[in-house]
Amino acid sequence: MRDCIINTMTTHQTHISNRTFWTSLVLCSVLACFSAVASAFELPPTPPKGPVILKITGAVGAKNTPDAAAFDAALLDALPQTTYTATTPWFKEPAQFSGPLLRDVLKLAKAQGTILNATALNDYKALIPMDDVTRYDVILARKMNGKPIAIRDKGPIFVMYPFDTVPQLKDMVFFSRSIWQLHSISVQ
Amino acid sequence: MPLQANSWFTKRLKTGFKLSLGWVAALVAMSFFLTLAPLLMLQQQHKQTRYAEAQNKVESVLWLVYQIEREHARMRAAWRDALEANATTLSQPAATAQALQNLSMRYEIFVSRFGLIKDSPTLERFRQSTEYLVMFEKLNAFITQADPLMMNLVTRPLNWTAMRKLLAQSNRDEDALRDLSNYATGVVYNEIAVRNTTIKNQNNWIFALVCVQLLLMTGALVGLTLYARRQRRHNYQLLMLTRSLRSARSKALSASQAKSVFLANMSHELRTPFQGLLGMLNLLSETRLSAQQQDYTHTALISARHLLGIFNDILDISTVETGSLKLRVSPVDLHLVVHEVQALMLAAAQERNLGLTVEIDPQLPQWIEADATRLSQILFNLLNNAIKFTDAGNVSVRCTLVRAQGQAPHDSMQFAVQDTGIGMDSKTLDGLFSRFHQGDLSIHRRYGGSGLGLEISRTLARLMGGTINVVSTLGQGSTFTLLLPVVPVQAPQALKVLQAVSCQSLQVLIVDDLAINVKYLRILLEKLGHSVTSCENGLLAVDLVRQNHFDVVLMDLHMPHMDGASATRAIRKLNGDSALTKIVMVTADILNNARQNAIDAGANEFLAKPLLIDELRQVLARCAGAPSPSLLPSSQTQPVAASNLIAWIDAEVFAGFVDLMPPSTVDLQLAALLDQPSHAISAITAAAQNSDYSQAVHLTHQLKGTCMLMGFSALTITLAQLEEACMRSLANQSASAQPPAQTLTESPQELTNLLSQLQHERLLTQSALAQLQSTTVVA
Repeated sequence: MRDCIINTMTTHQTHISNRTFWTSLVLCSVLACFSAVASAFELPPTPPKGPVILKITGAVGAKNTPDAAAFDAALLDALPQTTYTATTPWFKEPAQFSGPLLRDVLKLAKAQGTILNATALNDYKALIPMDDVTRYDVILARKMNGKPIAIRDKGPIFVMYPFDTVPQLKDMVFFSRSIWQLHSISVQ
Repeated sequence: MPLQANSWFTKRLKTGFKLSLGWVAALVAMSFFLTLAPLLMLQQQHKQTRYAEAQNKVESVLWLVYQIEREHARMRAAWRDALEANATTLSQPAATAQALQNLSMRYEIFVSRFGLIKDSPTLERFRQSTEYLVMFEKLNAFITQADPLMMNLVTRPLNWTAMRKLLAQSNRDEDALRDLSNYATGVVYNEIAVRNTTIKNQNNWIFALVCVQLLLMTGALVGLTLYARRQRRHNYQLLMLTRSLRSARSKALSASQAKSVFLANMSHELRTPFQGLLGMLNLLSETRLSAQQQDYTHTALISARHLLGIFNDILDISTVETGSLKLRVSPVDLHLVVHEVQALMLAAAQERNLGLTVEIDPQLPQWIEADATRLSQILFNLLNNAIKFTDAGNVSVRCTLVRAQGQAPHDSMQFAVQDTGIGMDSKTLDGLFSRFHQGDLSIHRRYGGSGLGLEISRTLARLMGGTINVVSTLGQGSTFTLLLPVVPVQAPQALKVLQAVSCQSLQVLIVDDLAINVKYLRILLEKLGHSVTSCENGLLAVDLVRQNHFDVVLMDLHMPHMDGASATRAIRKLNGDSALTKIVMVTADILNNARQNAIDAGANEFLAKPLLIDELRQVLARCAGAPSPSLLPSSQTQPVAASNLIAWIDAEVFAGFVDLMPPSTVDLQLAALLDQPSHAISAITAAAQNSDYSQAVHLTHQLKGTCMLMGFSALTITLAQLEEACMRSLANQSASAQPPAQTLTESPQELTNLLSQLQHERLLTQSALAQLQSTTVVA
């Protein structure tokens, strides 16, 4: 039943980017309802069926594996998606990124902490203060310019800050927190 | 041109580059501009560099190269694991699948690193190096071959031979990566070196600029200090100048004050012996002299009186300058004052064949609050000038009342003295009221005078709260207008003239160190019928008063051993009746507070030198405890012997009158007064008998003025009584409103008595005059 709902949401989400403004306006109300449902959504108790692409460990209240809240692609893509354009040092052109808000994901895992210790596939580590997550719309970008991000294109998860809408984020500090090929988060 | 510049420079050198606040400010501003602007530019440049680094050097070359080398190694390890798993655990496909899964991810990560190093905007220059190109060619070739194999690595059957071959190829690529790593290290070191050099250069620049700024600031500071020092010196010089100016001013002021005091003292010193001289001359003229001697004496008297006038002017000016001139205000008969002046000046006008007319506005109050002496002084002065500077025509005095209006809040009286004289041009008018001013030297020689008259007049007018203005046309005459505030008052109970009374014989002590004064006073007093004792200082006076009885002591203020004030105090401390002796302080001190000082010392009366016989008589009368003038019996009953000349005619006043007037005028006046049938007393009698009292009052008043002027004492007193009686009759007449015809024969008894007394006195005066004239030459 839940899977079904998630699937519907995904479909709707995909449509937003393609439809006209008026259509999205109409769908807004529907979306608001689903957001309400999503906030009440809980992490499934069983391990995800697909390959795990994100593990949240440490001070988490909800776990679906013995030591972590583990997410596969489907679980992340089922969450409400946020889309914005950002200019970054890694791409010559501004690109459109979309994915779930990091704070939604952390809420799902019932994370309680002040610092997120994020690790990439290449063992690169970055510390993200919890404040960043509440203050800014930090997303776990799954798609770039509408296409899923492959590992060779810094996927499958790219932590993205809204660099273009909040000017003070254009700084080495936030660039270094904008970790790609995200693999796991340890909540402290 | 160079010459010009050179001359400019030498000129600047000579005058010195003046250090002004402007120069210093410019120096400071320049130093700030010259140093701060480059500093700002450097800082901006630095900021831009830092920003560019922040934008571009997100991932340093070293990190990227290290990462690709690392991921390359990890991929090869996963590759070997997969090959080994395939070789050793054929029976366990799951393990192989796991190894392949791992390999797939490692390969993908490696490719992502390759993509980064290939696309990163930071490394554009780096990518042009040979080491990079070699590496790129090799790894690109590897990926081109590996990609097809890696697709769906787990699900489809693998070409393990190709896999092994690719791994061997990849192992060989390691050298290229190591070379790249070495090269990258070199590049980074180089960059750091360049950056360090830049920073060092920037620091050097900043250091140099700060040094320049410090230098300029020091310059500015030195400039400011010098400026402040110069300013302080300048201020000090100004302060010194101010001080010296102030002290010079105060010296000048005190010198001027000293001059005024000196003048006052000189005038005083001159007047004291001069009084003796004048007195002696007067007495001399009363003795039997030959015609020639009388002529000489008369001339000496005229000169002496003229000199006295000048002394008085100087004294007035000095008094004004020392600020001690004060007005003595009392109720004054304004009309009388004007008529007196008129009477006094009439003769002078007639002497020059000038008409003298006086008009008095009937609206003007009879009695006003004023200083009569000073008011007459001004009028006399103006009239004197008008007559002096007019050769032919008319001099007129118009007295009018000016009602309060507009800017003037009080009623004023205006005395317009108009002449048809020589007039003045505007240049003369400008300096008219200045001290010692007279039109020009030729005028001075022609007309004489002290030149102080108008200044004194104007000062007096201002003291009274008024002004003197003048309008004049050269050759057509001048009009001097005196404008004074008028304060009407009630007529006093007693007529002032009645105070001039005789009194009984007194014991008088004269205390004066100047023998001539003593002599003059002794003669005067003896003439008045008093017995006289004298001494020459205060100490002797105190002794005399202690031992003898005196009715009055005439005490000079300035004496050796003990002055008048001290002697007065000493007498007041004596025992018994002696302490109550009447003391009259006599002084020529011009300062107004001399009177107050005398009263403070305990004196009963105060007399100013030169002594006027009337004043002396009044004072003595008061000292003798004479009853109030209004209660005096008529002169008929006064114990004055008819033979006593002085009771009828005041010789001194008469002499003064005779001196002032030309002989023809004197004769005219005497004839009008004394000779039958046209004499003035007859006219008054006629008016009284016709009950035309207003005419009688007018005539009596005029005659009284003339008599007073000529020194006919008895006649003056009686005329004053007659005037009063006539005024009462006039009041009765208008109150009963009866037609004059009914009272024609009812002339009041009082008037008749007074008139007959007047006739009697006229005869006595006439005989006294004859007696007087037998001893005096009237020139």
